[in-house]
Amino acid sequence: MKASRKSHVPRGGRPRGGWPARDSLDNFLKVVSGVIPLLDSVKESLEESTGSIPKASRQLDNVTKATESATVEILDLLERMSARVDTLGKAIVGVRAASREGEIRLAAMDALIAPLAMSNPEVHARWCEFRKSPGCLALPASLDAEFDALRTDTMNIGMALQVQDITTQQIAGVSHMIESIRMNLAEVLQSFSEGERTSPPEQTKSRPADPNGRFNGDAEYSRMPDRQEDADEIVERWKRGNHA
Amino acid sequence: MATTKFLIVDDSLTMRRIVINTLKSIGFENVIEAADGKDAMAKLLSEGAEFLITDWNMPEMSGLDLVKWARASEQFADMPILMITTRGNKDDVIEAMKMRVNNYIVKPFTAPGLKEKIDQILKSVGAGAA
Repeated sequence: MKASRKSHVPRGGRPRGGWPARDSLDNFLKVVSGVIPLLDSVKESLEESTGSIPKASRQLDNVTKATESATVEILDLLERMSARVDTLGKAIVGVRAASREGEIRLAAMDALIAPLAMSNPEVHARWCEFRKSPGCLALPASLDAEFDALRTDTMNIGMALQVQDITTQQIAGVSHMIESIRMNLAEVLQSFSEGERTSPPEQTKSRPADPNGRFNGDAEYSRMPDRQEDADEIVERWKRGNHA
Repeated sequence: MATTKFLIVDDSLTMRRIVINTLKSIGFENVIEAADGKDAMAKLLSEGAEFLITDWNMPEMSGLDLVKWARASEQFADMPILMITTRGNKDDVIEAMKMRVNNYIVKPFTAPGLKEKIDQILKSVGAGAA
């Protein structure tokens, strides 16, 4: 018998090597059926993360509001303190003026008493004792310096509160980044839903296209003078250039 | 007591109060304030001012846009303007100078630093310092 060309597929059976395309498809379907729950889990996780972002943003807003309100309270106190310091300062000026007036009167008394004191040692001793008594004159000279230091310290506490504005801008920068992440996550979530597009929340819509106009996320609180010195140098060069 | 009328523009109430308190401590009592560029425009037109101190980053209208507007106007083209901002990059300072601000302070500022800049500006425009 002439050997016929054998088919690779025996009747009613599968090829010896199996169905390559069908096997691949089976494998693919197995993988897909394994991936679907995984994708569902990813979707759930994304929904949860996206849902919690507004809460994070609200918490940051609350931090900003709380620090602003605390700063306002501190400023109120400082302004009251400054007013009291000014009142005390005026009182000291008044005491100093009275003291100068007293010196003049004492000098006049000196002139009157001198002849009497020369002839009477007891009068002389009593008068000298009186002149040395602290109640008679003079606030300590150091009081002015202490007072200036108090005034400067009060002012410096106020100046340090600039940190509130700077951290507010930093927080606004972080909030904006968080919002961008939320929007990206929302887009990924939309791609899970077939053709179902949900509009972004109002909070997102109200954000400006150019957030740099509203805040500076790179703001930093540094007491080092180098940033101001750099700015001064640029300003000076600019002015010289323009006047040259 | 110096009589120069200042307009302080900053969206931060804290910063406005700090600047105003500092101005008062160095002898400038005549001060009005605005919370952003638009508010400042309205105040300048209704109440007027002789010296503008403005922040850069603000809602509604930025300080830089306010400076552009002032320089383009006939009334405020030569008004002394000091910018006080957190933006300390070289490009930012140059951009502000291009808009013809008179001087530039990087936050956080100090009272002597503010006084020095105000005195420099008033001297350069021929007005009396504190």
